[in-house]
Amino acid sequence: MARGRDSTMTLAGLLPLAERGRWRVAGSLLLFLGSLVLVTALAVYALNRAHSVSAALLFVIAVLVNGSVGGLIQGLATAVYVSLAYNLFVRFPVYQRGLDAVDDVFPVIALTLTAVLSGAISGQLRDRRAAADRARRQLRRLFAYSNELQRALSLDQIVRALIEAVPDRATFCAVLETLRAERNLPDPERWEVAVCHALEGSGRAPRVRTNWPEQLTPADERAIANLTAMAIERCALLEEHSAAHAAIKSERLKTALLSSLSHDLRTPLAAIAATAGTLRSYGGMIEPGDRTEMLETILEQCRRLDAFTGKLLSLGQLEAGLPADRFETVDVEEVLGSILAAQRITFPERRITRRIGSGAMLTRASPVLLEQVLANVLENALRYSEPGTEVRVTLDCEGARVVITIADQGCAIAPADMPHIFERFFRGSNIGGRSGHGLGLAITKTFLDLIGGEVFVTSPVRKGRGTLVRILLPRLAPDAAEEAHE
Amino acid sequence: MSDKVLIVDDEPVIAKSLRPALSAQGYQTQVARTAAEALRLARLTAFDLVLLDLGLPDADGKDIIGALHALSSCSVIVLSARHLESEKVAALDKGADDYLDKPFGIDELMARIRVAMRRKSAEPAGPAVLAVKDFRIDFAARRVTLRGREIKLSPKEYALLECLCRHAGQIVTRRQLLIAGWNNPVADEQNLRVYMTLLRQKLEEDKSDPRLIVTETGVGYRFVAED
Repeated sequence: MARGRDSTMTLAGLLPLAERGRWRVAGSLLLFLGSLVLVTALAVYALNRAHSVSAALLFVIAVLVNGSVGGLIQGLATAVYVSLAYNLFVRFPVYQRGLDAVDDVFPVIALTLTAVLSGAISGQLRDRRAAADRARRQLRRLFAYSNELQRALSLDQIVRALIEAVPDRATFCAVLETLRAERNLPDPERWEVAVCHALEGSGRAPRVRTNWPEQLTPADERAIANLTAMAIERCALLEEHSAAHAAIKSERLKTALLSSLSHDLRTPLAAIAATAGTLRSYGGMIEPGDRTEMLETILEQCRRLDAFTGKLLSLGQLEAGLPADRFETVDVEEVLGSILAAQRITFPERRITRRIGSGAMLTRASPVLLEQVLANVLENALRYSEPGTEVRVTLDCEGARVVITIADQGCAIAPADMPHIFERFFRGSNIGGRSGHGLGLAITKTFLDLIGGEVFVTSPVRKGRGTLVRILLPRLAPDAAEEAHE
Repeated sequence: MSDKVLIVDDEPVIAKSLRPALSAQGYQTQVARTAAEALRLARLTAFDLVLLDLGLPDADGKDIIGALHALSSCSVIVLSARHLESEKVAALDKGADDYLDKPFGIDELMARIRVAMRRKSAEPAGPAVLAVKDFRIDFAARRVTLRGREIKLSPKEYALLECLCRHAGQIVTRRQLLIAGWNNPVADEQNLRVYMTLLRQKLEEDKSDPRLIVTETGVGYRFVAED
């Protein structure tokens, strides 16, 4: 895009240049001829009135104007003509008598001198203007290059910008030479690789461009080299910065993992140790009923520890990748049925509605893990919604997929949390004091990736409330299932 | 009137497991699950002791230690699963009186609570004399005796020992000791180690098995409070 704009800019600058040259030639010619005719006429008129000095001055003015506007050649041509005209009209006047020899020669010399001086001065002026124009164009090109470099974020992009900024391969190499010799590049080897890559790989080696009216001067080359070096340094800094940023992020993640692990392992341990210690040291002072309750606490915390280690282990197992021969043909309806039965015991007061489609809903998976995954999702739905609300479970097939949806009417997942819900140990920001490990959805995702399934979470579902989890499992056709069995 | 204890932990099971032992020892307990709730309760009741977890859902426990102290002249014992020395030092420097890693023994916790309560009831002047085992320090006379024999201490050694004894039973951070001995919290810790070695040479029979001055690795030292 930027390149396109550059070339049109140069083109637009070039065409009027040629136009302008043609107009200038025509104008000069017009001025030349017009001034000759006018001066001749005026001189004849002045001589007719016997004003020979005025006539001579008119000739001087004609030379001066042509010399200064049209340049040296035009000035000299005018001088030649007016010398002849002077000789014709003033030296051999029809109306006046002769002049002496000085008057013969001196006007010719004076007119020639006037032509040379005015022509030289105007030529000089024009040269200066051309040089200024050229400098301005170079400056504009450097500015465009520097803009291009501002956008470049990698070494490759810098090389590409440089290729666009120089007219030919020789200049490109000269700039590279200056870079190598004069600047300390942060990572010279990578830069060389980027250059080779750009020259050979992309097939866009620098070539002579028609839209480059002039070559770069050594000063231009140095300026380009300096700009390039600065861009390379900036790139290196940028990379360093992002590497440091990534390191900080991973360090933070590690700390979060560690603190989550230590919390999940040590909280139940602390409760067990404190309760057991109390029973040992103060057992005699505690009512039998309270003692039973304390023993219950210990057992409950043991179960909690067991559940947590179980989750950690299955996640580890999943991440190592389960061998496919451990997969079996599983009837999803059967698994779902046993989970629903178990959750109805754990949450007796909750209303769980289910809608099961027709047809065989078979998949290939590890039955234990599939049960754990579905149980996790259903338990989340029950735990993170209010007691009076309904949890809806559906099971159906869509083509080659078995689709399970579990929807609750609890508080939705915070939008900021959505990108992280499948991360290990991540727990939502609005879950209040509910305990949990932040492993359920991580396990679900890893497991489904492994068996070729998918999981989608929509939250909120309606009016800012509710979470819908949609799990897709690869469906096994009944006859394929039989074959797999045999 | 029995002493009041506030348990601040987002895990209800921690409070549940601490309550029986605290009740058996005659303490009244209340529970807060968030930092905000803890501060609200502390405004209503003058607690004698707060058992504070650091990983609260709405704030870092360390950040409310100052506010808890300001609300009531309570002691604060931090109970945390983080096990990081930097965390311990930060909590103690922010005004916590003691620190216990989870999981902890209930007897250890009760002993720490007793020390904190004793210290609190003895404030503000503090006891004139501390006697532990066969060690005795008389703060007014600046006299230290061990098994009845007077121990000669340099002024710096005495300053460090006094700081430890004034906080007997509690962790004293290196920073606190540097302030006590050198009046400079960022003084050279190497010097502190040298002086602690000298003190132990004079007070301990077996330096590898100290009975009086215990090292809390990475954090500081503790002068034992009970026989």
